[in-house]
Amino acid sequence: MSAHTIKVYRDILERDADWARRTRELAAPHRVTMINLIGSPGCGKTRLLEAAAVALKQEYRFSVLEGDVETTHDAERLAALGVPVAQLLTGGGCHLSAQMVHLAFKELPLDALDLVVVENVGNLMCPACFDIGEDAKIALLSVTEGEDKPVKYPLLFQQAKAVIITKTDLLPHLIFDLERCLRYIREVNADVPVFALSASTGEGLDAWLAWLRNFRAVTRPA
Amino acid sequence: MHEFAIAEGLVKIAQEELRKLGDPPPKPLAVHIAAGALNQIVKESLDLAFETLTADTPLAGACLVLRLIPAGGVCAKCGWEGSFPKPPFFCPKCESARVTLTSGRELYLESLEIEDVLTVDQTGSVL
Repeated sequence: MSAHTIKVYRDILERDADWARRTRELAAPHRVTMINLIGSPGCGKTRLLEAAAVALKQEYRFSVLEGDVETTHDAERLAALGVPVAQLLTGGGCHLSAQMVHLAFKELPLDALDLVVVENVGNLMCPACFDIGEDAKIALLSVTEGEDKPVKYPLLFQQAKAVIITKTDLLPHLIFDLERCLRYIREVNADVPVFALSASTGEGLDAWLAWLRNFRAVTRPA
Repeated sequence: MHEFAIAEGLVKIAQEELRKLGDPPPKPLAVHIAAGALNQIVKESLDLAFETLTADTPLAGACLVLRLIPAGGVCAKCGWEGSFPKPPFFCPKCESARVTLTSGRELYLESLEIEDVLTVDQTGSVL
């Protein structure tokens, strides 16, 4: 049996790339900044957004696209703070697709927004693989998870434009070597800004918010 | 299970490529893809997704062949160029962290292997 080879060289995720491009094209003229929060289930993504919502209320008009496998609990928490939020349920899917995000994004009142935060499905691996049209992926890692996550899931931490270590108020109760964790982050992304904070006590939150303000100013200059 | 979404994209473009080759499209023996190591693809999961998604298509039964591309980089300090089997992504020569990753994120359909169709004339000779 003989066979011949047809050379193709075609991007497997080209459809996703196309949806992501459409989202960027929609965001730019409206001067909307979009960030994609990625971290494990229970790492404190929603809690961080609650704290940011309170702190940034007077400064930015922002909306959240809330990705979950099931339930609207997280969306309800944010809506209770007056944040306009759209719930995206993947129904078992491990990440938000660029298409899902685009379809929700285009329904937002973009003229009345500065910032859109996508809270991705809790997962350190899959959401990192997909471009959803964001301006920045932000990696979250809580101190209850173990220091070595950055080298176990290098793609996310390598791509992140900022890394947030959450729940630092719990450090006195845990065996968590913060210095070692920082080293692991540097091993995959030497220059990434890292913020250790507690959204519950507010400690360290200001530094992250300052980064966010600066990122917004750089990506969407007035 | 990002493998399922990857398999969906693959099956879609592979079918498009096969349609370009004929009507009805030929059945490939193998589908060759290249994947960067940073995508952390579990081949067994990708195979399962591919098998599930290709049932009742010309791709059914095709062998999925994955060529793994290691994470690679270039050192801005000493000019070293090479690949990393795993983190840290530091230069193995001068230990600098000023390394730009140049590979490891690839994800593309490389080629399709198609069985040659033998055309036989009335006497049984291969044309």
